Amino acid sequence: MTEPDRPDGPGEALIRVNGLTKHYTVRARNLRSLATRRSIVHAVDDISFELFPGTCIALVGESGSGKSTVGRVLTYLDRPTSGEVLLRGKAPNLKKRSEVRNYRSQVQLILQDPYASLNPVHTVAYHLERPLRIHDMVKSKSEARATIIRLLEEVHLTPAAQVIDKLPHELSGGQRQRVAIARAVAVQPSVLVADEPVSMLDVSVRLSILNLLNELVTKSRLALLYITHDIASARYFAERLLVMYAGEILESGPSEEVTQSPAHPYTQLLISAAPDPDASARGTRRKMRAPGENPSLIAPPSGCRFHPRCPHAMDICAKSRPPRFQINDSHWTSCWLFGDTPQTQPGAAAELPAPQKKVTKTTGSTRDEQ
Amino acid sequence: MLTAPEPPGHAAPVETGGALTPATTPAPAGLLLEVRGLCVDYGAGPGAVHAVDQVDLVINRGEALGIAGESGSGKSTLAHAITRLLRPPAEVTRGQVLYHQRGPGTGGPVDVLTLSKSQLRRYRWEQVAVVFQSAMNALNPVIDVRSQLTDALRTHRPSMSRSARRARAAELLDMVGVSGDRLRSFPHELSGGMRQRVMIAMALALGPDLVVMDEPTTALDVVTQRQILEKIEELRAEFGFAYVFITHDLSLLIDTADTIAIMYAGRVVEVAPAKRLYIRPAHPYSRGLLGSFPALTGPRRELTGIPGSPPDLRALPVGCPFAPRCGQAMDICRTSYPPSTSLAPTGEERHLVSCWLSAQSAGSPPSHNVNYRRAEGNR
Repeated sequence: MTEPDRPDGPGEALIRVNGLTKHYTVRARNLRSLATRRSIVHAVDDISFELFPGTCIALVGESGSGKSTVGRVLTYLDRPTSGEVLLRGKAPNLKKRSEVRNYRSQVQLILQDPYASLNPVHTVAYHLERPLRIHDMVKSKSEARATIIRLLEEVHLTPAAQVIDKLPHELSGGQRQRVAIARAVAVQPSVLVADEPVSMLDVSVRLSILNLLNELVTKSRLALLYITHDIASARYFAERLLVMYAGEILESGPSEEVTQSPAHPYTQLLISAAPDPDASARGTRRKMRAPGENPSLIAPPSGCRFHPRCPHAMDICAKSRPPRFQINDSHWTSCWLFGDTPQTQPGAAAELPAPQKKVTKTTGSTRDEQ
Repeated sequence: MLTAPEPPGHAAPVETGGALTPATTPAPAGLLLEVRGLCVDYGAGPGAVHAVDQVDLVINRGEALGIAGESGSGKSTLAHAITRLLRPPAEVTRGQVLYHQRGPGTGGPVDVLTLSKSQLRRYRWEQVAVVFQSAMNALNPVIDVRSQLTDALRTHRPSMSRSARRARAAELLDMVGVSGDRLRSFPHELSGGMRQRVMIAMALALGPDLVVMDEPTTALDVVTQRQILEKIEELRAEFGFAYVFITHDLSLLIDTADTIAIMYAGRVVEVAPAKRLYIRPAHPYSRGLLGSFPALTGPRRELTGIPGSPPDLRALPVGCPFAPRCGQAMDICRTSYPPSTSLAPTGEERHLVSCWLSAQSAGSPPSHNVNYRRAEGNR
């Protein structure tokens, strides 16, 4: 079990995730023998992190890395297999519906696709009234309407009186996502989980939606978990990054530091794969390092899950899962290359021969090579 | 474009009947496809949507042309028009798509829009192939990869033996970096990246001159996307085909394309070499697009974005369709559409922009008196 990631963030953690694990059982039927086989998908394995009020933290990873599962478990759409999610130090009793409902009023989810997350036969007003009613936020019809108008103005859907009775098909993608955001903040949550909130939107609209989320974070002191595959946008909109690969968090640190001097070879791969017009225009674009495919999560690789693709893989990487190694106070990575300064599980590191270091400096960026 | 000398500017008059490529020099460089004044409408009458409006484009042999724009800007409709895959209610109302054939003695360019059924069959796949966005839907789920790969060969190369077709299918898969034991796989057994590679292999089966790719990597994640793009570049270097790459992600095009065309509301508003567009965008919309996405490296710059929302194609404003969202809109922008202005007088580079700001600073006198007053505020 790893220690929760604790940056010198402002105040108490709102959400504390401790050793969260989520496994899904899938049944696969072999079409030739007709035998049914059960297998387990290790979607998320033993991850820990914290969310703070007024702070945006980005969870970055490829598709299939388990980042959406984290969002689903955080909002208790899925129950964790093991580990816990604490809200203000307390986990809800999942057997009590009222506790789960109360938890959900505090932790709200914004989904990726505003074309699918809004019901096409209901008006904007209906979508926003539901959470208000379910969580007993309003007493009367007129109060509901006034609250809805205020919410629409909060997400800059103005003139609100015109938008309120529209159906989703009358709105553009960006406007729909604003409705989805208004729906999430309707119950005055303290935590927002935004699962790829802009990837379905046009490039020109993305920025305004991210700015809106940022505004809500600062104004209402919300804790935001921004789940994305776009590491460049995470650099701009999140204070901290969590890099996820095959169900595990491999690196965490201040977003500027992680994007400018990534420590983990996977983070380096992710960054070298992202479009970088600046580098292209200067002619300094370099080929991607360590391509390859994502591993199967039914039978994940032993040790470090990235080792089959890693250009720096050593013997130890296949044998044992690397613990967290602190690079500095606020930046850590799970990679044996940084094995000099074991932070946790010192026993595990001591039993094995000292790893041969291939990255010379912990803080130095391999992007500066050449 | 980077390897071949440029033909004269795209506005150069070309006689439709005359042979453009002299029979003595079947130059590998030179014009491949020319789109001239193309208009595509959805529906007819006053309710018609002008999805593509008077588009002029040039694609040279071996060139990577990127087309960027928001959804609804007409980029996919343009791709479908080039390949003549438009279906009613879409209709080409004006314009030409001229295809310049390879080799000596082939005569002048042919207008794709007037090809007969049998000519069209030869044009498609052998000369122009298509890769669509959703490999999941474009591949037949109940037929294995090999059968789908050999299908095109069977139709277009009837003389080819079965074993030769199968050998070619294996070769094609190998070319795009999918191992040969996947030949008998069904699409659902492949990952998204592999499916897209199979699509590319299919497109290249008959050695086309031009591959039209409509959002080929949009459904893929960054690492797979990069791998596919690098593979496409590698194949282009090997086989010398040109490609049109359609995407809404301008940052991707700066990485991969030679030339970028920016589309807005059915019009091509700017065409420029990729690096030049990044460094010196001329159209306010291009500048807005470039200021919309965060950069991964370099100093943090302020993101400006584009105010407002994409226009309703059914009710386009008079004049420049971008004027309502443009911070530099002038009176003339609201009354007439700007002419295409060349910003690269040397003729070596092609940089065309349709904006009154450039038209006026380039010295071409405005057609009537213009008030230079800036637009009041911006929504």
